[in-house]
Amino acid sequence: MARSATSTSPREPQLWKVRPASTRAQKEWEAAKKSNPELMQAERVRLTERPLDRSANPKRTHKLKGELAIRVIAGQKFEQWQHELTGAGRIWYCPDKESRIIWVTRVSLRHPNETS
Amino acid sequence: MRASISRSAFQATDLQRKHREVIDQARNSGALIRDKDGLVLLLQPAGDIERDRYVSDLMADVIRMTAALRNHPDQRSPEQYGGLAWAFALSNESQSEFVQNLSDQLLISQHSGYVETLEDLLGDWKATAQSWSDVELRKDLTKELKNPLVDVEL
Repeated sequence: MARSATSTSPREPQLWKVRPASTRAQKEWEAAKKSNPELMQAERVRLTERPLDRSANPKRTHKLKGELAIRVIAGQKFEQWQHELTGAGRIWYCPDKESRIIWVTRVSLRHPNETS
Repeated sequence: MRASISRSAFQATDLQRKHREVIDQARNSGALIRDKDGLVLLLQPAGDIERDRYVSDLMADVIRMTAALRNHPDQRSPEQYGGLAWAFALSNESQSEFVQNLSDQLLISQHSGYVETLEDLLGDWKATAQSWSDVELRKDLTKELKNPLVDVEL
């Protein structure tokens, strides 16, 4: 049966809010946005809609491990994730799954040290 | 699930005479083909073999790394970790955690035949090693952020 045009799907995704976890993160986001607006717009959409989706191929979204696995923000513990924006660029963020807030902790268009 | 290999072997001449039957068995569970000199060959999907080699190569690396971790940290080198040399960049504590994580996941993947979770795990640890190896970044990613900008939306 056709769905009413006015009905809302119960499976409609709930969007995430994207916020800076520090003034540094805010400045880095703005600098990256100025440097590559299309890239950062696409990243904002990704963080808003599917920040924990790891299905992209090649795999570019990672949940950090070991001593980097957990980050404390305002006294609360969150998982720490990393997404490869480009070959050189990275963004680090912590999802608050209860409040559906993505806390951006760092943005860098420079590659961290290679370890291969 | 891992495919079990059929016990009955085809003859080499069956590759022509019963080619459909041989191919079907190869696709389903692996086909054994006995050559004229008695050597038994295995025909099975290449993807299965590649996956098994990938898992067994990683298992060998885990054994190497586990052996290296028995040495004092000063007596270790990345070469001792084989294909996992990149993990040398992790802290000592994380190296032990990594090799334990990897061992556990390898057993699961070997049993299930699925390597996606294994690849995710390796990707997560590689990303961690990259970030950890940058001393300034490491310091930053481990410190508490006390004043998040609760009213700012990016």
